[in-house]
Amino acid sequence: MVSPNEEPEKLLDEAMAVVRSQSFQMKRCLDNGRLMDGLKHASNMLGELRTSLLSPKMYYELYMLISDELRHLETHLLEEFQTGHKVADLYELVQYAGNIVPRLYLLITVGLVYIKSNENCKRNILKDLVEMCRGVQHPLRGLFLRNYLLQCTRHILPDVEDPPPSNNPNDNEQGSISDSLEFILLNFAEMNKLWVRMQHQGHSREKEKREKERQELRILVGTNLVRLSQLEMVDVERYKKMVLPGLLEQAVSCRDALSQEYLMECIIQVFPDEFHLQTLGPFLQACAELHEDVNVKSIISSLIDRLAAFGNKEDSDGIPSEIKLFEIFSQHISTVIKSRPDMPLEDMVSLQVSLVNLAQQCYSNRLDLVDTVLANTLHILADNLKITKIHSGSPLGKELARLLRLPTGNYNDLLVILQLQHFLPLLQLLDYQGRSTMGTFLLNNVLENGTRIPTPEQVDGVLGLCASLVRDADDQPLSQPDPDDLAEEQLLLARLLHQFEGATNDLQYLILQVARKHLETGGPKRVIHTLPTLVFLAYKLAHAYFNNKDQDEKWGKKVHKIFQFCHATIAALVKAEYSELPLRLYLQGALAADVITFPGHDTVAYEFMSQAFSLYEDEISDSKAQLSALTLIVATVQQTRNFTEENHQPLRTNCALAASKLLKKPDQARAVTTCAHLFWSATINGQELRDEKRVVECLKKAVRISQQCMDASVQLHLFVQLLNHYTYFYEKQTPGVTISMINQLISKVKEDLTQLESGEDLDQVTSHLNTTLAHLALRKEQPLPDGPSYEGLVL
Amino acid sequence: MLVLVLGDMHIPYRESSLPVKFKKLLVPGRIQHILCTGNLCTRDGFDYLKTLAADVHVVRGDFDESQYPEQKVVRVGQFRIGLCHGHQLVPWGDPAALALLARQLDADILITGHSHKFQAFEAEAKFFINPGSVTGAYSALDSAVVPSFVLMDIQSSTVATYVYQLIDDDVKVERIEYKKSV
Amino acid sequence: MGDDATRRLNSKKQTLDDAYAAPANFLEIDVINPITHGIGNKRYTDYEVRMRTNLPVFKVKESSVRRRYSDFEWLRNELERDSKIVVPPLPGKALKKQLPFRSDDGIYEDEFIEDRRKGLEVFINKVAGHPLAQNEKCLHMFIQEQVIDRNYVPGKIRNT
Repeated sequence: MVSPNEEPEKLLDEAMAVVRSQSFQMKRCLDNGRLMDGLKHASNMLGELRTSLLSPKMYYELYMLISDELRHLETHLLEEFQTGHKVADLYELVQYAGNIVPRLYLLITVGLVYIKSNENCKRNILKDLVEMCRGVQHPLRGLFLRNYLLQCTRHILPDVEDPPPSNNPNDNEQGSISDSLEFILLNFAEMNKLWVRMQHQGHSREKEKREKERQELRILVGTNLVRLSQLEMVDVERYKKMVLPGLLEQAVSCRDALSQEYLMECIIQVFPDEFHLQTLGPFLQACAELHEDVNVKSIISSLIDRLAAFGNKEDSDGIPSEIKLFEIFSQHISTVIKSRPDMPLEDMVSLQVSLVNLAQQCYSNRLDLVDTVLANTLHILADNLKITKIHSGSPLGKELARLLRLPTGNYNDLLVILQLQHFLPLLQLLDYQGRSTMGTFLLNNVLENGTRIPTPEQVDGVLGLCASLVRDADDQPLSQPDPDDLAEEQLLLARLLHQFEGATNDLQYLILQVARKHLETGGPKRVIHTLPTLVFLAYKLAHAYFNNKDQDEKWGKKVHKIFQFCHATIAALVKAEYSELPLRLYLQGALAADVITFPGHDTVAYEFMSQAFSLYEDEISDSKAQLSALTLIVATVQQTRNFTEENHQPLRTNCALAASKLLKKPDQARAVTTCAHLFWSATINGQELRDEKRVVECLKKAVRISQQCMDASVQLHLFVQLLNHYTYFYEKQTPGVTISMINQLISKVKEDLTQLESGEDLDQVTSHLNTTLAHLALRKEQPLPDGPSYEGLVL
Repeated sequence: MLVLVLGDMHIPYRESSLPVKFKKLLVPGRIQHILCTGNLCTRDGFDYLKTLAADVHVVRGDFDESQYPEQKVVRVGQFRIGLCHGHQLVPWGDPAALALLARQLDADILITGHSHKFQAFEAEAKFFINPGSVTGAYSALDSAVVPSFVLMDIQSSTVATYVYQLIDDDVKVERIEYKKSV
Repeated sequence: MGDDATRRLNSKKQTLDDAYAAPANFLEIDVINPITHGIGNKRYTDYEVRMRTNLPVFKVKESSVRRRYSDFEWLRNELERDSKIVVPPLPGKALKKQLPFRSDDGIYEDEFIEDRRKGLEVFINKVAGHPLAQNEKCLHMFIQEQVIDRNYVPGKIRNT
């Protein structure tokens, strides 16, 4: 048993062949003046549209071919019946065609010719046609038939003002706008009915396929709305009184989600925004009455987004002030939400997103409206639904994040966001991940827009918004965060601190205190990234007070407090078991306190130096780290200018002592050499030290230590370096550093070089020696005007 | 051959970012080598330099972790360029101490940082450059730090050095030429 | 002229509720879940006949029974004899498939069973959709009684 619908393609081909053959014969008959035969062939051709075995797509193909052929018929009839008097007979005649489908297509075609040849029958014929089409109740066939009616009448629908009321029925034979509206609205109602009814056709297990087919056919129904929107005479008043009520009546009554969703969307897209503005009430009212499966959220959002864009358009006058757009939407949205207890929460939040968008676009100076939306959202989620935590990966979490991002991205000013009372409580509903992501987003927003945070309260607010970046949270994952991720996140936080900028130094000090209160709760993993920045901001502030000391007589006391603040902040890092960075921060503090000469600065600088020393002695054990820390300490002591001898003496002595106590001989030799510079050019109370005795002592000690190095190449490297330092001090005319010392070192190096095996080390030492000797040769040849003589130098 | 010389960013400890006007100048694809005097302070800074050029050399500043060397020599064309942050050289910035390091590295050009102050001079046929701090980072010893960096255009035995300084929010450029003696 | 051509009988206006109401003659019968029972000579296949309807003539609106091919034959014979309707044919008996010494499973092949299932479904939907057949007692028994009483008294069902 072969079921016919197994081969629809073949059926379509056969139908198309019949159409082509019948239309060919139709045209031949018409050309030969055999009208009746022509109509018979036309009827045969149209008979193919009676099928119910084709899919909508194929039926459409067939329909298109046939409607093309019907145009020939129409053209022919128009030429034939220019005069018009015989068309009436023809209009009656075609009503005797045997089957209803061909009969109605012919009736429409002839009716069109009739109207074109005699405008005075327009009103009657249009009314008749739209009524007669009721004869076809099969959904697919009926939809296409009525589409044909719509296509044929597209240019002849009366679009003129209604005449004044009259008792003479012949007064308005050509029809007016009301007739057109009646015509289209009736046609629309009938088509929607057929379209909705389609779902009941066929077996219920094919429902999905049928819904898909219905989607494909929706444009046929939508064409009615397009036609309505094209009528010039449809103004706001008519739209409000006739068009929209007619459309909404069908849309609401049909109780079919697919139809409702399409029609509502279609209304929004087809008619102008000015019309929507005047009919928000009825439209939104209808939204609340739609089937529960309808995605009302997307309909309302779509309308809001359109109106928001309209209100914000350059060439529009904006939203008329008498239309309380925000209030209307706000009220209806809450009605819709109440009337749909099963609405997904994310859709509910999504509606709030649209409201915020509306407020921002149309009422940009009304921050309170945005806050109202946030408050309502919070009320629904937290108060009504008792939600305490929202998973950031859930649809609801994503929508909520969108809601929070929207104002942030719009104002690009976190200070404005801080004014939104309900922003933070909403943010806190998100889970840890969600809050962290949002925190990162907010920080990036501050940094990208260069937002300055000017008061302690605002600093407190901003750090509160990104609390999950600042400190541990109860709901954070138990596993340790990836160190790279943490570093990246904390880098943002540290960069944020530079945006804190109080208008006065005093305010800035308060800001730093507030910031520290937050940051010191971050725990060991975070403070290392953030507190150093805070310390530098404090040093900067101390300099600012110093530069402004003439305007602030209490500056000295305030600076003293700042150094206490720094001292405590660095101590917090030490407590978190860091050493290298705190050591450097102490040294920076010592340098700052040395330069900023507030009363007691000497003591403060000394304290910072001694803290650095303690860290060096107690906490730094790696020999490489020791050498680099000690070098830095020596360099810092050398750099200071304003220590008293009382304080300087123990510092430099300790440096020399520490240098000679380093573990590795080469390290000792280098550090001791560095100390030689300290004894020469350290400055005490503005005076250079010039302790030549200690300089020579250091150099000799360095030579001695170098000699103890077992590795010949390391020893040679050290000797050449020392040769350079001897040269340095000789050039500075340090008493006790003599040419013979230099000669001795040169011959020692030359002698040892011969012992060294060839290789990279030999090359390096040789090269270093050569550049050194070249330098000495230059000096010997061209002594500096105020430099020493190089008499007796043996190269 | 364009060589970008910069350093002492101190992000985030002392500054938040490079000046916007510098960032606009520094576009990827034009620079062959980057010599950085150190104190990037975070991995982020290094990643940024990597976006500007593939060949990036960094030495360790006093606020860097120890992944970078204390000093290094980079050959560009005919030049040996020595690179060192400079906090290790006592006294800081002392020309004689710099000359001492230049001899040790056998460098034609010695690049150091640390002072946060641009400097360029020639001594004993060697060229000494300090690009300053590209962010204009805080320095305890200088309360008016000007953000600066250096671009070296190396053509055979000539180096044209362009100094970019941000003065009153305007980028000022100066040109200094150095020729290698044969 | 035009007025005459468009003079029509007035039709009653449909209410919106009627226009969009679900059809009042919904009837859907599925023939599904074929199961083959027994062995040797006693082997047979039966099918689930599941009905859903809103027609008032059926006292139960949803039902499910199991029927084999011979039950369909019985129904067809009853209708042929007692009603005036032209009863549609059943899918073929496939006598060839029942010859001995076949290499395949004959009428127990999946493909054959599926073809027959489709045929039976078309048949029962046509029959049950016929307004006259809807009054026959045999049809009601076939669709809604678990066991067919072949000794029943034939007759009509009153539509209440």
